[in-house]
Amino acid sequence: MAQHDYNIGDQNGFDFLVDLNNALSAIATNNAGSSEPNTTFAHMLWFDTNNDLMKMRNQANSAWVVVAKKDGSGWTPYRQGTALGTASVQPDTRYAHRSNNLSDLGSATTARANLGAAEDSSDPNFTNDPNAAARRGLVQQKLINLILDTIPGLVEAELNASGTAPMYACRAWVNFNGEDTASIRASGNVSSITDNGTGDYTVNFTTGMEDANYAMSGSGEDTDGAGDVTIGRPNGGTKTTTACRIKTVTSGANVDDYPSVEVMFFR
Amino acid sequence: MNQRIIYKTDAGGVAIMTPADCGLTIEQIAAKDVPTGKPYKIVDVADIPTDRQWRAEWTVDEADLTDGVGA
Repeated sequence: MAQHDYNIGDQNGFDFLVDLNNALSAIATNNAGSSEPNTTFAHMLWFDTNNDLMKMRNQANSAWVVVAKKDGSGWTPYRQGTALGTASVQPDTRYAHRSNNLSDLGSATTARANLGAAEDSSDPNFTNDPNAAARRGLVQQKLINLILDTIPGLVEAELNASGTAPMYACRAWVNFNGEDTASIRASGNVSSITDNGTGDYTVNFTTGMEDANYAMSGSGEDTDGAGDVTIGRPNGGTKTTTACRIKTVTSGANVDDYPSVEVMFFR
Repeated sequence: MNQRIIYKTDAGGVAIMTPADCGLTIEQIAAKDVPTGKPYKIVDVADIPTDRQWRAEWTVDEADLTDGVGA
């Protein structure tokens, strides 16, 4: 162990030899000593024998930086003043190096968990995957696009619709017996029918129309020989978003009850 | 449904409402479809005459319409 000021002064031959050998010894031992050298230089090495630390002077020659620690017969390297191998490098939760100790990656399960890996059968809902929501959104959007592209063709095929003319839906319909106590055979979006009198009914919608500008069509059947059936709306009769009044009349323009009255509403 | 909702028409006659199988109860249908402010009664279908020859002459005593009022 030796330290030197690295300044060879003007002296006689023997003293010069001793001084030079002391300087070489300081170099050979990395300026080892229990206290720092009196004279320091940028990038100078100093082995601190009190703490077993190898230190290097910084570029500004203003402080010592630990570069390694002597552990028995070996050395532990340091990075930016912290020993490597036990360092907590980044607080990033997505990757393995978030681990405080790399030995945490010792098993595949732990490694997957640390990596937030999605391909884990124990994590079918991707709850450990930080990008799961984005992945699900992407898949959902692709499915929606596929459905939107496919549905029109399927609907047209199901309805045997040919050509390119647009289709409009029936928004309510009812088939009822207008005789006796009146009864509904079947219906859609109709909550009730009101028997207002002979051949006079109001159809009430379960869910109202967007406005009263819908179109109505009707038909029926007469079985008692009174004549052909005409179904229409009476003059001034109710026609609102929630109800529509209709009348069933004979070919002689007389109101009459019929065993089958069928009306439908389009919008 | 084997029930009907009756109320008095503006002309003094009787309106007979037949509920549809639409997922609503007859009470809900009555409250929704009976004209606002009109009292009504829910009756069995057997109580409704089947002979409609004099349908326009049917009447009802408003004092008997005690099950609710159209909303």
